[in-house]
Amino acid sequence: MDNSGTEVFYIVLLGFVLMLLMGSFIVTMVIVHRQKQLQNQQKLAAVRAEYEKTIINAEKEIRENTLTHVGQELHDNIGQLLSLAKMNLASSKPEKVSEGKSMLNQIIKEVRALSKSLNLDWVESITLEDFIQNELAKLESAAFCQTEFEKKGEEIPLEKDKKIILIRTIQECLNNAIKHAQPKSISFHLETKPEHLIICIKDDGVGFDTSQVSNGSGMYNLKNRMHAIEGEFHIQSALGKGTEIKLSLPISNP
Amino acid sequence: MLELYLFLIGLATLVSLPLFFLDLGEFKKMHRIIFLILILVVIVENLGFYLASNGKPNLIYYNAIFVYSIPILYFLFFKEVFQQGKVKHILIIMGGTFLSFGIIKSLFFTSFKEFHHDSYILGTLFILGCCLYFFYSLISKNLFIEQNLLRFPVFWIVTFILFFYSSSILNFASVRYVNTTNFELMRMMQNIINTLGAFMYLVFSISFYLPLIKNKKTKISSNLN
Repeated sequence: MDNSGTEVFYIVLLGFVLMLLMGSFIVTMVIVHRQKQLQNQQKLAAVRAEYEKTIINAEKEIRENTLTHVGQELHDNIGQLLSLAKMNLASSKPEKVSEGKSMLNQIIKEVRALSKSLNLDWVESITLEDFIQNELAKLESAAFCQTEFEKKGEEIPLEKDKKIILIRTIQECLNNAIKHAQPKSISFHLETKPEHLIICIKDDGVGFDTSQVSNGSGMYNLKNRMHAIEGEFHIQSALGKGTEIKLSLPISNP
Repeated sequence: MLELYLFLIGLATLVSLPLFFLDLGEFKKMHRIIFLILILVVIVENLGFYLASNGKPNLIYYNAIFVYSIPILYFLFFKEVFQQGKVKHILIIMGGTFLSFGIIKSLFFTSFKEFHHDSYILGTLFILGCCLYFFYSLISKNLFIEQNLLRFPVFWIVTFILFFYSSSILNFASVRYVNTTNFELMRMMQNIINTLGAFMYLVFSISFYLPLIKNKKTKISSNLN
């Protein structure tokens, strides 16, 4: 009798311990999981903030680039046109005055185009092909070097953020080529594959030793920006053998 | 006590029925598997009780359902839980190994009319392994990191499976080796297992209602807007 009473006690105790164990287990799991969730949310918020900072910095740099270009155009192109127009309008010859008036029309057109480029709405409306061709046209008009452009596949519209980063990256690659490479020619290859957009920028300049590129350099920043939009940045260069930069971006076909 | 157990598992099955008409989203397939388990449990337990009451053997049915079919259904359930291809592959191998073991055992070693303790232990160990891997993934691999655990049916189901099978493996594994003349003690142990089992099956059905409960705060703020 006593034995069975003890056994019942132990069984009830076992049941109670089991319940307690289960309850503690559930509470512990929920608390630990909640902590992990909060950590994960903080990480995501940090990544999102970093991404937004990357986009804002890229937009700022595009604006600065645009302002530099506007300043150059005002000085080189519009300033010259205004001086010539002033001379022509001051002349007594009717044909010179007429020429001066048509120059004024041209100046108005150029100023309107420059003012449009000052806000970033053009980023949304321009295609990558048009942007690249505009940049190459600037190089050709400055007689800096020869340019070549090749396109394969139908271009797919990109999200504004990705386009901003791509445009800024292309601008920076071109700026680096102009500043350091001393190329005779720069070629662009734009290819739209089923799941990737590929942009190759090649120059026949002096090249450089890619192993010497430091972590704080512009190339490193460009790599990080491409990664921020899930893209890839590859660079191949050797001294005296030119440079090839390959940008690739995953795209989803509609 | 046994009648209460049979009533509760029947109730669990009935409570699970309306879920066929509700939008369970990602939990739909899991619910179907769990409902199948509930149906099998209800049928076998009632049939087993009826046969035992009439002095007829019932171990064939317990072997077929509890020892072999239900573990396979749990493997299918875990296959829905884990999305990684590698894990699904391992679950298929586990299921195949378990069934092969059962077939060989039935054909060459133990008659199907005797309870297959070894198969039950093997199946339970596989199920416990799946449960432990689930909790390990939850904590270390951030599995289901976006889910609210208290409203996540899989969490409750796996927790109760873990506790039930941890308790039952000790009971079923040891029943061959303990003094089986102490029927009162054995009946008490069985009652504890049945109580845990009844809780488990009730949780199986109720847990799928949890994701359908809307957050009260969200409701109030959307009304204010």
